[in-house]
Amino acid sequence: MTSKKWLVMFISTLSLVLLLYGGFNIAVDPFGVFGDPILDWYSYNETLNPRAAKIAYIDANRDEYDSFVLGSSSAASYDPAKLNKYTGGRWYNLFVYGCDAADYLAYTKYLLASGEVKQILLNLGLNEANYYDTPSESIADREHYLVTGDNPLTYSLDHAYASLSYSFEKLSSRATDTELPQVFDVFNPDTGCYDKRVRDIEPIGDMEYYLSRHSGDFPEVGSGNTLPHASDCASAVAEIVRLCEESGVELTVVFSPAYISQWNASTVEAISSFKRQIGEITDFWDFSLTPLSYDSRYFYDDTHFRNGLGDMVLARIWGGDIWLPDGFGSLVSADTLDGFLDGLSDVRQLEEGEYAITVPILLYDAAVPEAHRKALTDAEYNVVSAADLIAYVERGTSLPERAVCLLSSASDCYIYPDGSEASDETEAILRADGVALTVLRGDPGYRNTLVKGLPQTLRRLGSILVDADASAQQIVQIVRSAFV
Amino acid sequence: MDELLDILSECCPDIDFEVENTLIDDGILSSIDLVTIVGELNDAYDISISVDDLTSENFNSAESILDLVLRLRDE
Amino acid sequence: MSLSSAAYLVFLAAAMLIYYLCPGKWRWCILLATSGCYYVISSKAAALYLAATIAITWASALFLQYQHHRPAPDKAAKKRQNTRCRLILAVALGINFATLFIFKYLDPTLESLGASPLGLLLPLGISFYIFQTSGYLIDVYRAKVTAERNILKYALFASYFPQIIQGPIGRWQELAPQLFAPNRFDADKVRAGIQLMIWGMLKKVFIADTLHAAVSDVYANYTEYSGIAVFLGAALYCIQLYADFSGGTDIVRGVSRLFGVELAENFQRPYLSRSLDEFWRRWHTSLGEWMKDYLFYPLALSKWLPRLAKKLRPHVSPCVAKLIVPCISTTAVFLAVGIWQGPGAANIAYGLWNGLLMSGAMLCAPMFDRLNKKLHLGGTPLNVIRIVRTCLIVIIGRYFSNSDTLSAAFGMLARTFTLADGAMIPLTADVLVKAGIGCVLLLIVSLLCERGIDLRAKVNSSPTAVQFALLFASVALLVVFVYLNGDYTAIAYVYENV
Repeated sequence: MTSKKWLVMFISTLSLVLLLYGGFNIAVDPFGVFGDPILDWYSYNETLNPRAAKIAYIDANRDEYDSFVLGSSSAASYDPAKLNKYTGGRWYNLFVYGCDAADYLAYTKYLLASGEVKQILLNLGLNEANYYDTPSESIADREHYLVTGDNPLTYSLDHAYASLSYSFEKLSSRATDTELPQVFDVFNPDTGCYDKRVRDIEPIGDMEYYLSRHSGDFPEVGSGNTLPHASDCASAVAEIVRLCEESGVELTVVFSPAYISQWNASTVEAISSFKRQIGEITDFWDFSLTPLSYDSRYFYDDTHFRNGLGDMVLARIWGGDIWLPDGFGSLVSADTLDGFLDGLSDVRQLEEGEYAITVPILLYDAAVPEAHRKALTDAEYNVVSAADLIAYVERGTSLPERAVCLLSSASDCYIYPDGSEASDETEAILRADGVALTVLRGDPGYRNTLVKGLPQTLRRLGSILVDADASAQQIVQIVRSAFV
Repeated sequence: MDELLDILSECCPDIDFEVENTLIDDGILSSIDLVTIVGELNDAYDISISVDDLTSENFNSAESILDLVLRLRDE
Repeated sequence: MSLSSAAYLVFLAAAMLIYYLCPGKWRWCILLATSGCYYVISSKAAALYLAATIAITWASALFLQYQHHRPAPDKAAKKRQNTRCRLILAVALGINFATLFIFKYLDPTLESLGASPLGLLLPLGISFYIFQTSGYLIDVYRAKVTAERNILKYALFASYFPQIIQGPIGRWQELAPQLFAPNRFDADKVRAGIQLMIWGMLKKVFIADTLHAAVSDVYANYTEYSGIAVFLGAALYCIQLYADFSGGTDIVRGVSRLFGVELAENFQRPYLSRSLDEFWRRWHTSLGEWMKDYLFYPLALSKWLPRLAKKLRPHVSPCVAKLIVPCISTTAVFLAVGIWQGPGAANIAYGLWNGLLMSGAMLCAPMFDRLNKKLHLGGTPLNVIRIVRTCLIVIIGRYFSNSDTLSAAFGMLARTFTLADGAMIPLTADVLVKAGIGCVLLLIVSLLCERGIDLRAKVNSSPTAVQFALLFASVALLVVFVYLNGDYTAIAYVYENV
């Protein structure tokens, strides 16, 4: 081959390699910036870099949404479905983990410029006063060009020619992907929330049990933090308030529920000063320190509250029919600001009995024998129904002391093997008042604890499978030992 | 010439100085060999070979070495 | 600008374009501008030091030249002239090496004396350009070379960008004609240049950079490794250093070829050497040649050393007497090589290890001959023994040249020779595959080249599909693992800060 031809071949080969490289990255699109044409797996893309993928997703589906939640991962538990129901809007949860107020301002500007915005829920926590405008460190936390105003061509080239490792990892994750969320695809693309299906049906039990299962999620945290960026955050919020007023956007500012260790990490003076600065700019809802801040069961970990607690926040703001403890959240406006700040730390921890109860559940293959029911009532146990359990959890309707629940396959529930979890536990589906709850046969590890406001505790209740032919004394004995 | 060949063979017994005529060009003589030979030649003939004289013209063959030696002795 | 960066390739492409579009007469100016840009981008303020060295050596050379060509009426005048020339040379070389000492050795020396260092940063390529300009000065002094009047042309010689970072150390006689010629675009040369660059880059990335982490850890934490692991670490270092340095040299030579300038080879399969002497003719050849022409010969043929040797003659046997001057000169040269490597006692020990062993080899040569004859060793078996022996000697030498301190080197040696217990080197699958395949390929290529087979010609005349496949594979590997791997940071070339 002549050298001239070889040089032509060299240039062609180089071009071919670059084309294949870029083409591969564009086709696999691990960041979701090219529309993810083949895999359409935004749950993965958003997990890798929500700043890029969520904005790309919104951009492609802008007309479907007119209301947005802004916040860091603390805002993940605000459910757009509930927001839609309460407000009639079409909500999307645009939270991004690791975000700060500078980002919220940038996102507000982007949303206002790109389409209709009816409402914004701006979620603030103590962390928004700890960090401000943190620079991105790599392509995996780089902001989308629609938000920063970067050149779309250089943005695209940077992503097309990013390391191939990102694309390969997406493909290998795809190979091990399942229906349920895993570490690499934690998002629900339609709503923008985390997909917490696995965590939301875990057994919760009493506090000791829960903490033993999640000890690493609630570590010791220091104290004395002074919230260094409180005024930066306040300036950004002021600007957001101004923009919303200008454009007729209904803005709701919310301080999300904080776990007690996170609250204690900062000095009361710093917290007070931060909230004063916000209060001077806008009204806000405050849920930082509530009676439930002391109970780890209401949190996935020390910085993220559960979906159930998120539902409570929304219900408090917009009036929903679910149980709320007394003193849960308050609307703070200019005239009530001083009073609120004075009583900042005055939040009482609830007694366990005020919002949690122990209930043994007995499952019968056939109808519940009247003799068993009578024997239990004679032994001063109170027999309650599945509907009573649901009412307790969801609406806080009180249950009597020493309550016992007897469920029958003949009338209350279906007992069948569960295909998705290959074990010899059988699951029962109860239908009561149109609400389904899952009851598991006998998990010996915990005592049945129902916790108000956390419907997920209903979904994984252990139960004891009993024989209808057992004697009444045996039944009473079983229940007695369940209360020990 | 014979005297020269003796000196050369004593320094580098493995090289056949009667035949080889590309001692420098083909690297048959290493720099250490060269320096050893120069030392012996300087002593034997009471001459002073300088660095500038270390060329292939001068050292490629026994004949050219002899020419160099004679030239320097006459100076 | 790292040699492994896409920016460097763009820089080269732009330079080539301008170079070949420029009228032939002024092409060397483009090379000078390119070299200047490259040095300033890479080293910023240190460019002033390079400029100073250029100015001083250029002026000194012209001064020498002028002195040489002045007619000398008589012997006395000639003698005065010679003395003057020697003085100028001494001063100019003195300034050059003082500069090198200040930047390279002053701070470490101050530190070892307990004083605080001055915080001087090493100008890029100082070890190489000081040597190259010094060689030029000596050549002018010896009237082998005519001093260059044009300071810009001389500046190009001293700062030529492909070789400035890590050599090879060039000679005026070989470089000047090529640098200043109106090199026409030669597709053969450009092709050969690109091929050499690819080969060098692959060596560096897949062998040197891959082994780097494991090797560094052995040297840094040798007390945790077993004696055998320490030896293996040193052996791997030999491979890493070779791949790094020869790969770097290949890249540099390939780059230079793109402009039609052929630089000297620096490595000829050194690990196939049968003696330490041969090794130093095959390893870092340009440094060896420089030392030979400017240190070894002048020393061995000086007035005073043979006189010293004469004094020692009566005390030793005749065959040893012959070798006094070569031994002392050799030891001195390798002491210089050791010092050139870098500051510290370990490097000096490295130099002495080589120099004394080579001297020893010279003195013991007759004894080895007799031994070989007695054991009926000859031909291939003898060569294999010699090659293995040489490799072992080189590996032991590397205990010193890569250790931070002399005591660390001795510590490592102690562990190896007492077969101490400890951890083995953890080689991940990734490292084994990359470096393993790389080394096997390198070995095959080396053996073929040693036999004199012109591999490049063979590749160039193989079918198009084969050439395309090779080209595609190597370009793809380089693009993926070097140029576009965002998580990949190129490990600094070992000699870049020498």
